[in-house]
Amino acid sequence: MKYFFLTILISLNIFLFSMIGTSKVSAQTVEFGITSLSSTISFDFNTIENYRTGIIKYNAFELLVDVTGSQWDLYVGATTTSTGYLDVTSTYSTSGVLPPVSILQMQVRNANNTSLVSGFSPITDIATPTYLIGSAAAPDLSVSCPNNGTNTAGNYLSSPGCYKFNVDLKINPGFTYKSGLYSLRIDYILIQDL
Amino acid sequence: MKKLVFLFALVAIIATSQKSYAQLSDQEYNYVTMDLRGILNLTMTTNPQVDFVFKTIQEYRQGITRFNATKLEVDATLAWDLFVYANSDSWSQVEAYSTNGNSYLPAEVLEIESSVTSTAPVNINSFTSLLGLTNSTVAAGVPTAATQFLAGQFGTISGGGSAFAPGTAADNPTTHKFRIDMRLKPSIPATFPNSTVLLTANGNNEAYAQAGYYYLEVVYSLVEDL
Repeated sequence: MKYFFLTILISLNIFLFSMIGTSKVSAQTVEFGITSLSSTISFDFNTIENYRTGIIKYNAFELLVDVTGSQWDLYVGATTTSTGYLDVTSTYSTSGVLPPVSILQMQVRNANNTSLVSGFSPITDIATPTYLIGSAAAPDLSVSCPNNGTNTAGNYLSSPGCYKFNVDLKINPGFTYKSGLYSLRIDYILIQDL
Repeated sequence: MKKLVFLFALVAIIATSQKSYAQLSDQEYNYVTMDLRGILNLTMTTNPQVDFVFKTIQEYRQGITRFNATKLEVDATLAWDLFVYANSDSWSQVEAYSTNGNSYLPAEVLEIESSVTSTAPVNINSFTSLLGLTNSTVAAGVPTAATQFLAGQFGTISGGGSAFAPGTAADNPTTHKFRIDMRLKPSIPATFPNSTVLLTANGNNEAYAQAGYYYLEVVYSLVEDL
């Protein structure tokens, strides 16, 4: 009886371990690519006109999504040392205030307008990210290409209109911020919608 | 046997619980830099030369006033001050038309006023003698509390001074556009009674001006809040 019980347990464990092994080679993958002329985009405000009208960098980055066998979410946020404010490399004056990350506006678009956020909107800290596809709640309703909010499996090669995103960036500083050199990191997170 | 069963059960629990950590994700990063340069633009939109020609008794007696003689516009991305001074202590004589009279005309014979009210203790909110280089106390382009300020004043905001806010002339016409009126009133004889410095200040005892052609350079200086 003892050996019978032991045999059952060993068989069960072998089965469970084999399940773990197969989950790693299952057909579910989320892959994310990003292309741009440069990994760093620079905004140089050196004329009054730049300050007044702002600077827009169209197609600053390109996001390439490739997801197999799963629904997905895509969200974006800024990472800085001081939450909510740009990192300061150096300042040139004593007057003015430090610029918040929301000074940077982002527009993410593709041919089928699948992004849930249309037009330019201020970027937020990664702690409170902006969902371009899906939401913090999971799982979301399944939306197939080419509808707004497409979150089903697919890839940018076969359906670029839904899985390839162009990112435009805009900064319109006005005259309230302290002169200086600033930076921030934009995080794009592609995650399985579970 | 019990221990063995417990061990296998524990392995089974860990194995099944690992499935909850299997959410796949991928991340990409970009870096954005923003360079906000400090810009101060001072633009004179009028002719830089203002002429006063005294050719009638009436003009000598009443003086000549040039309203809006000079218009200035300020575009700035920093807090700023604007001050004015003469680039010399006296007018330069180009040509004399007579043999008598004093050729030394202090810069202070020129009276100026600004359309924008300044809170500085020394200002040109109403017609006031323009201070000559020495009296303005400007040294190597750096003003002091005794300098005539059109906007802001000596000392930073944080240090108790004042400054005008960044902005453009187009968006802030009441604070970033200046209309400067100028007046010369020689009187007869041409002693320039409104001047705060006498013509005899340089030791020449002749109290009236020599007829002639003179010029004076007026400097408007826009600086970051000092």
